[in-house]
Amino acid sequence: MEREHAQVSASIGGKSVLLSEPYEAEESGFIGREAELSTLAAAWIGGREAMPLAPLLLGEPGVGKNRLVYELARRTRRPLFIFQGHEDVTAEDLACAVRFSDRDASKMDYVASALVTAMHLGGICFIDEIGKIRPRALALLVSVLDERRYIDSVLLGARVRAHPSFRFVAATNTADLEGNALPEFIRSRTRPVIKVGYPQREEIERIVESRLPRLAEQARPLLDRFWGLWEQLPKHGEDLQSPTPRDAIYIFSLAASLADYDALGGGKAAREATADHPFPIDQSGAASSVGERHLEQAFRELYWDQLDRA
Amino acid sequence: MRETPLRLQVGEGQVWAVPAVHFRVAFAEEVHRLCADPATRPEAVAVELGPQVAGAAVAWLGELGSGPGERRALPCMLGLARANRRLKPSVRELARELERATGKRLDELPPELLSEALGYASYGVLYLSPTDSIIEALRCALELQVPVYGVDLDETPTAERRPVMLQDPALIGGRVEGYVARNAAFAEAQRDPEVDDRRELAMAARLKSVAASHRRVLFTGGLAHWTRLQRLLADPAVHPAPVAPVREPAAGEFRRVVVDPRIAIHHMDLFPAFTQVYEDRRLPADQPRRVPQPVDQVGYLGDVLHALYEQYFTPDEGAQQLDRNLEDLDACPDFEQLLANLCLVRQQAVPDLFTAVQAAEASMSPRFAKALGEYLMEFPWACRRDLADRFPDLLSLVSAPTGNGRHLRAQFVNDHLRRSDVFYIDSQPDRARRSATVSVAFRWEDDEWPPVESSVDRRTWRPRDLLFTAMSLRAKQLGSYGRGDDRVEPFEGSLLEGVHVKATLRARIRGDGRLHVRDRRPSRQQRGGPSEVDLEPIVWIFRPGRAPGASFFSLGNPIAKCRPYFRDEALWRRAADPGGWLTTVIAFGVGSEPVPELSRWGIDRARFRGLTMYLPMHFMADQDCAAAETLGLRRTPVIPGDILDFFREQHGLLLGAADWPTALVRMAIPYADRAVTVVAPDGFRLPSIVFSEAARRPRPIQIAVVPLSCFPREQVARTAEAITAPVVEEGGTQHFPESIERLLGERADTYGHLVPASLLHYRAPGPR
Repeated sequence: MEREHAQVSASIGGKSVLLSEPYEAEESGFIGREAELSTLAAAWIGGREAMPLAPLLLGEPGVGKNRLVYELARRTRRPLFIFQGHEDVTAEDLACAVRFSDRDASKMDYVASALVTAMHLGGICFIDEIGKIRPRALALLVSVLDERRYIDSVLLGARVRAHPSFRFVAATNTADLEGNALPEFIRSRTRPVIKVGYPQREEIERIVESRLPRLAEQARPLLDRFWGLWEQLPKHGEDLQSPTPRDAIYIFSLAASLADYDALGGGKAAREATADHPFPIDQSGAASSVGERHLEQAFRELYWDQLDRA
Repeated sequence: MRETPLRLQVGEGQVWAVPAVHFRVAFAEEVHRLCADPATRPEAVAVELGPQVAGAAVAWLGELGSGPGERRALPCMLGLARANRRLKPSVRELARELERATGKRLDELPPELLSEALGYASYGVLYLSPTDSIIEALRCALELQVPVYGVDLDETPTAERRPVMLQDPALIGGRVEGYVARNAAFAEAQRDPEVDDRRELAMAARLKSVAASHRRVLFTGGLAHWTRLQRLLADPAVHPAPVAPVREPAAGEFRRVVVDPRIAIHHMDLFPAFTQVYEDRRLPADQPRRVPQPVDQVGYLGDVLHALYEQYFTPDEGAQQLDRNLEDLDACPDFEQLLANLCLVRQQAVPDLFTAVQAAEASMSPRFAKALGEYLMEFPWACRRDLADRFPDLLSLVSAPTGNGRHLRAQFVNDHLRRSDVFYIDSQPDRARRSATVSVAFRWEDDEWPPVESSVDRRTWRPRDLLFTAMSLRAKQLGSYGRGDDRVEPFEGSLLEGVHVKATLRARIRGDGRLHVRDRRPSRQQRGGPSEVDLEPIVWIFRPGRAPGASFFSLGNPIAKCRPYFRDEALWRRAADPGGWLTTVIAFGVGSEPVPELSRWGIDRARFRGLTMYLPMHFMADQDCAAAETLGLRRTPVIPGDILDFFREQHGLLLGAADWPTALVRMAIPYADRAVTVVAPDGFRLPSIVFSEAARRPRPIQIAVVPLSCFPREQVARTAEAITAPVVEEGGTQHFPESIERLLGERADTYGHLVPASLLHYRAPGPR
């Protein structure tokens, strides 16, 4: 392998191919989810006697499916390559793409996908939102996920075999899986299906505290107020769902930003801002304290429709 | 002073201890061994229970027949429930804050809030689990006629228990002493000092008092307390505290309950079968005998899987069922691999029921996971009606759907089948165990709900219908993809759907040297699923081919009953004139077959080989009528009698059961505006008559065929049959009663999130 243009390349099928970059998640502490983590780890245990399995994470948006993968990548010390699924993905996108080259010596560069890079290097390939990829595009995955463990790239004209350390995981939202349905040839190869549910209340609290350390001693009363507001939402107690960590973090972050906005002069300062004296939007942390009214305002931003119904 | 880790000289007496992992049979066996052996037989038994609860348990065990010379199995699972009146000191201020903020007393606040915010559970339950060392000690005491002491505190707040990793007791093999020596220090991490410090001090002081009046005392309690308890027993500063042998407490303090198996399994050994084996081998402690072999836990699940595979892959329900079950065959190695690896990761020598079901749920079909759960749950569960004659005040403690709190949720059910409000009990199984779904044995549950009157309306079970509507929307979307033409684009880095040779050559002739590729991605206009009520007919062919015993049948609403739901009375009168059914689905299959264990609640099952859906299947009667009216009855046939006669007379179609898939598609065409979507197994071909008939319509109808393999097998299997259950009418709309949800183990709005809100809550536009 050699480094060129700040991107790693490798020789695959006799061609020089640029590799995808691994994703290194920000370390912000991992809270809860030990059961899901143990199932994911169990699925990946493999060796000479048994191939590792290719699990599928299933859950509502924002519950923390991706965090689970980042954490296990960290704990297993494997490079993580993420492929984002969407409706326009084609089969070849999963293997290799071509781009016009910046180098004089060649017209085109081959760029290995996250999947092929992980297979080649023995890393983890995580296909996020796999349920959004159309069935015909997913056909190329079949040989990767069964005992063949290779992928044929038409563009490269080569067969890429998986390194023994290669591991695969995919994730999809519940609605995408149940409503739009993965084709059977992928469903039967992505096992186990690990359901990622809503976290418990105390886990949400710990997540908020760890992600927003600036709340410090204000965290407890704000969290109590948060749960008080949560109780007011209609149907709570019947559907028994918690907020997702993403929603909770969003609300508390927005509350902190609203507090900063007030500390910086609020609407008056924004109105009076000029080209010479712009409103200082990059002064995060300007407010020394976040008030309950900021939290209430942020809560209303996210749940306004449900609060109106209540 | 200390002769062995488990035999302590305390004052004048000796304390023989069995520090235990609760509910694990190895420790019950050890207690029984010590009691049955004349050389170690105790003069008194002390347990980690308060005097009152120990007294209540001893009294009830006595009434159930425990006593000298009596070999009698304990009905499983019974329990003693008591309202919890304590809060941990650390949450008292928070409790006051909650009262201030809400303006309500604590007992008026929702149990969810109390559980989540204060860690408070409304009831504590002592489970009379035969494999628990404490219950075994009480039974032995009754058989040996020796006094029992409850040395713990009677009322304590709900403790917070942290999960710890201990060696698997399945491998003890009778060597409890060594196990305790290796694991007691680790188990200590489970203690909640706020609650347990006081308890252990009380236990030590009272044990000293018991040891002062008996030469040999058997004590059993949780392993987590053992290390500190030993220290306190050796500490001369801890003085004996007087305690009397237990007696029955005042009436009304405890509620005797028979426990729902779904709660019970959290308070038993790894599998219910171990309790059965233990009870089969157990002899009263006062009878001289050989010591029985310990329960063999290691080989159990292997034997179960062997037997279940044999049963599951050779079912007697016919070839169709076998075909479906065989789809699981190639997943078996993945299942077993995951199960073994899960045990490795969780440091279990032997999988438990939950790990086994969890591995099955994750890697096999829901059908297999359910079969495994049912197999493992086969057990002679005690139910209230069996014991009601002897214990008329007995309540059922039934499981309520588990919330997101730390504790299990439950309800009491009395002999009039009245249910209490939902409350939390002080059981905190870890999340990994709770995430597995284990179905309850039906013979237990069937006493808990009254039968349904035969006259009520019935509809297909809503979760299945919601799933089916979602799948149909998806089918419609997939069908519309194919209708767009290929687009051609110059190559810009992605081959998309491949090189377009003709376009490349044409470009080259024009002097454009670029490669051209084919793009079949849906255009922006095509994207997004249909969400309006006018889906147009969608035909599902689940299993083509001959189907002896199957016939056409319709689902819908008797038009005569639809009057309240129509706004346009003239339209309703026109439709109702010949009478018959406002048909939303025509199906080919078996319309109604009994489900033996559910028939008393008016529940039966329909099996579909194929069907034509005219309106979203999850609609209730009011929505059907509103949609039919909005669409001017153009999309829904009103069929007065025989289905085939209707199509012959109204549409001139000669249809029959011999080629039922074609018939279903032809039944759809007259009710389509632009397209009929046909979902059929891969390789299925429609005859040309379908296309010519579609082309002959005043406005040509497109026939879009979508492969059935685009949908997961388990979803197809689930929607190819439907439970039919009673509905109740309320406020001008229908819904399934809660009892049906409980019986079927699923909420009626399951899968609701898959259906767009406009269809889920569909109402006719404008005022009625």
